[in-house]
Amino acid sequence: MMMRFKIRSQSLLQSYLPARLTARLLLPLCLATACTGTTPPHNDVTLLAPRPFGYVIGDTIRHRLIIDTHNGVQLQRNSLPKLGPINYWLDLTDLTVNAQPRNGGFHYEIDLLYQVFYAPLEVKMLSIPSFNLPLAQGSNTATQTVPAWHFTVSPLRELAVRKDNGGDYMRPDTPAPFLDNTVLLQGLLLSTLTVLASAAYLAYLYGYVPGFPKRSLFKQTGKKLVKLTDAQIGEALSLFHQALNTLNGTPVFQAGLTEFYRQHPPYRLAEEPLATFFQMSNQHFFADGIANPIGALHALRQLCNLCLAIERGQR
Amino acid sequence: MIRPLTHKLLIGVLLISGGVMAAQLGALLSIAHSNGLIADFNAGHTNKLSGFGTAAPEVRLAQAVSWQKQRRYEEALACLNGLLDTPDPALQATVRYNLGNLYLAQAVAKTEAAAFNDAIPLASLAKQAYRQALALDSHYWDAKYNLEVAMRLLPEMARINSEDDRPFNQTSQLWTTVPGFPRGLP
Repeated sequence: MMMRFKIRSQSLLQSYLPARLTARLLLPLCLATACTGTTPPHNDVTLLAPRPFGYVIGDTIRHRLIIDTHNGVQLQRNSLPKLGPINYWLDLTDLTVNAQPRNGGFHYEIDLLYQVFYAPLEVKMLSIPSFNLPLAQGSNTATQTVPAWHFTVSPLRELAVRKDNGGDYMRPDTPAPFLDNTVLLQGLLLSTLTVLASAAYLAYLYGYVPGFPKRSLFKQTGKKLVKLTDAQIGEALSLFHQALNTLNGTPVFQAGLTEFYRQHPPYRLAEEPLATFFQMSNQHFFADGIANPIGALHALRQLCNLCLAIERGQR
Repeated sequence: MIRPLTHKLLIGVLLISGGVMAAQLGALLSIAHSNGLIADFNAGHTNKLSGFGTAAPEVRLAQAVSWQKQRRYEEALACLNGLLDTPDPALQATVRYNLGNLYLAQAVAKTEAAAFNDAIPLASLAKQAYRQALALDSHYWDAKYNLEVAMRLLPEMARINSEDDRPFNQTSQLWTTVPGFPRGLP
C-alpha cells in the first residue's frame, strides 16, 4: 500500500487563495506491500487548506482531507482526532467524514474545523499539529501522518494597552437586541387578508354587496313581503313569482317545476312549500281565491326565508 | 348556487383566521411592550423589571446590561447566569460576551487596585466566557478584541514551543505571572 501525499492551498472558501503549495510526497506503507506481494496500490491523500496568514484570535480554519483508497483499504474513523481542545490555544470544533465507494476503494472527504485562541504580541507563526490517519485493509493496519500546517496569527491591538476615549480598555457591552416581529407582521397581514376575503365573499353571498343583486333575490323579496298586509296577498304572490322567474331566467310554472329543480338542485329542499305556493297562486289568480289569506301570507314569508337560506348556501 | 358545505367552510375560515389575527395582534402588542422595556434599559433607565421570570430573554439581558452599567455586578451576574441556556445561539453568544465583560471589568479594577489574587480568577473566567462566545460566533469581533485584552491582562501560562504544543498539557500549568497590561515596548 503506497500513499501519495499532496498539500494544496485551495479555495475551499471564497477568502482562500488559489495558490497551490508544493509538497508532494510518496510514502510507502510496507505493511500492505508485504501482504499483496504485487505492485502496491496507491492511496492518494490531499490536504486542502486556506491561506496560511492573516488570522486573529477566535478565527476558524477549515481543512479538508481528500483520500482515495484502493483495494478495499478503509479509514478507521474511531481513531480520527476527537472534538475539543487540541492544545491550550487550538480547538477542533467540527469534524465530518463523507465516504463513497469508488473503483474498488473509497473516496473520503474529511472536513476539520479548527478555532484559534492565541493572542500574539506580534505576528507569529503557529502550526496546527500533525496527526495520524489510521487505515486498514482487512486485518492489516497502517497509518499515514498528516503533516503540521503552519500559519501566522496577528494581534488585534498594539502591544502597549491604552484606554480608549471613554477611558476603558475594552469593547463595551453588547446591548440586548430588540425582539423581531417580522414574522408576526407577515402572519398578521396574511390572516387579515384571509378575514377580509372570507368576510367579503360571505357578504356577497348574503347580498350585502351593492351592485350584486343576484345574490339577494329572496332577501329583497322578503323585505317587501314583510311590508305587505293580508289584503295584498295577490301582490305578495306576484313578488315571489317574480323572484323565481329572475332566478330561473325564464318564467317558472307549476308544470315546469321538474325542470326548475334540475336547473337549481338545492331548491329541492323547498319542493313541498313551492308546490303549495303554486296551488295558492292558481287558486288566487285562476279560481275563487285563497280560503285562508292570513295563513297564506305567513306561509309565503316562511317559503321566502327558506329560499333565502338556500340562496346563501346556509341550507 | 353555493353549496352548504362551502358556506360552512367560509364561516370556519372566517372564525379561525379571525382568531389567529387576534392572537397575532396580542403577540405583537406583547413584543412592542418588550421592545419598549429594552429601549428603556438600553437608554439607562433604572426601573426594575416586574415579572422578571416570565420576561423574554432579550428583556432580561437588557436589564442585566443596565445593571452592569451601574456596576451592580452581583445582580447582573445572577441575571446573565439565568440566560446561559437560551436556545438562540446568537443571543447566547451575546450573553456570554457580556458575562466576559462583567468579569473582565472587575479583573481590570482589581488589577489597578493591585489585588492580583482577586484579579486572576476573574480574568480567567472572562477568557472562558469570551471563548464560549467565539465558539458560538467566530465573527464576534468585540469578543475577539476583549479576549485579547483579557489574554494581555493575564497571559496564558504555556508558551509556544515544541514542548508546550503537545496536546492536553495545560492541566499541569500553574499561575506564575502577575496580571497586568504591558505599558510599552521593551
